[in-house]
Amino acid sequence: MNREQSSFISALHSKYAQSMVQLTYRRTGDAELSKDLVQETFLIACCKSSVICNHRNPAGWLFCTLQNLTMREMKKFCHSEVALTGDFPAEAENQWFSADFYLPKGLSEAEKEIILMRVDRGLSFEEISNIKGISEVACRKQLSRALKNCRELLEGKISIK
Amino acid sequence: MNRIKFTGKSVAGDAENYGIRPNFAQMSNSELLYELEEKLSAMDEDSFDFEIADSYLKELQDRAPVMTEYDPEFEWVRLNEKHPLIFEDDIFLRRNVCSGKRDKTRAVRILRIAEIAAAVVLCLTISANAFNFNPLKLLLNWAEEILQIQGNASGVMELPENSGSQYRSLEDALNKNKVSPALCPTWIPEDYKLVDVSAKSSESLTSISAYYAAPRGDLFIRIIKNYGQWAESSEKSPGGYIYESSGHEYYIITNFEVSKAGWVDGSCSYTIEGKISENELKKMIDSIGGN
Repeated sequence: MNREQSSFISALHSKYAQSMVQLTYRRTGDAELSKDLVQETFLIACCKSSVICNHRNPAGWLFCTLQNLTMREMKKFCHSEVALTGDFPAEAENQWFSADFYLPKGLSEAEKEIILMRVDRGLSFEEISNIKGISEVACRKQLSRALKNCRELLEGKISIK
Repeated sequence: MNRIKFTGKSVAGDAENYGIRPNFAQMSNSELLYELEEKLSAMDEDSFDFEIADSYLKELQDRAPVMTEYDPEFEWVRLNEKHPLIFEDDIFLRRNVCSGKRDKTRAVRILRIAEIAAAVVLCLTISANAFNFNPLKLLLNWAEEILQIQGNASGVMELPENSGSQYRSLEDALNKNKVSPALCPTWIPEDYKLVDVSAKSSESLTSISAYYAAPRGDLFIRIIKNYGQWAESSEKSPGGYIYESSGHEYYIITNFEVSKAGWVDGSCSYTIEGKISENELKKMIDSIGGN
């Protein structure tokens, strides 16, 4: 990759990376994964610098590549998703305290939020997706990860930071 | 050709072609997101319109901001630092290629200069030979002189300050006895060192001697100044010869590794005698007058 190509790809990054990472987050619900996928997209762009620099629509190439990488990750997630059987009741019977009271310390605010949305308020994934502006798949992934962390905190497998 | 497809359902319907900004106010976040995916799936690499995608993303960002802490510049720097070879490899290669070209060009230039210089030297040599002038011989003579100068450091011709001697050098003794040192050698072989300088005066003459010593033998320089009518005439031994230097004549004789030279200037007679070679003796003579 020569200097001109590097400058060109750098300009593409400045212009599109923010939108790409937002779109990916809305699809996956994972901030770190979104950053990594955007990085990977631009890494491929650098490796194929002659292709993207001569492409008549570089933005299209970038978003398509990002799309493919996101699909790959989503497939992985589908195989490793933490199973959630049945819908949670809208309200827990004989509930003396909010579910927030029972959540272990160490969960992030985002994790608490999605667990409470799903467990405490009994919102469907579609509703959570609508509120958060992310896809249902992203909601499921976020909840799955939040529940996994919650379980590990309760079992003492991970320590509270 | 890749086509962007993502799972989602169209809420706005097919009537609305992409490129026409929909009425976002009447749409929920999910509807916006689904419609965005719908529009993206209708576009391929070439027909992708970033403005459309961005309009949906901006609306969603206004309503439910995500990834607000994301800094594209920082991420670009991180990418550069994480994969430095991708960004430096070509520069390195280009530098190497440029360096190789530069070296080649320099070598060709040096070769051409050498060729021109050789041609000039050849022409000059031929021209000089035509006029019975041998530049090569002159060059060798010059080089020989340079080598002689550089390889002919003089021996020690002065005594140390704390020697206690009346005279520190032959020149000093001559000056103090009112004899001109102009005709004294200023050079002696490198291994010789001044040991003693003495002067003896009588009514008729003054004799000044300098004694130099080296592991190989001794060396004397004697000057006799005559105040009377008597003029010294050295007997010329058979086998000697006259050596001319700077317009003066010097009589040289060599016998059993001992060389001797003598000359007369007015009322002064000079003698050099010692275990030195004939060439060294001539160099001593040539050094007279500071040459």
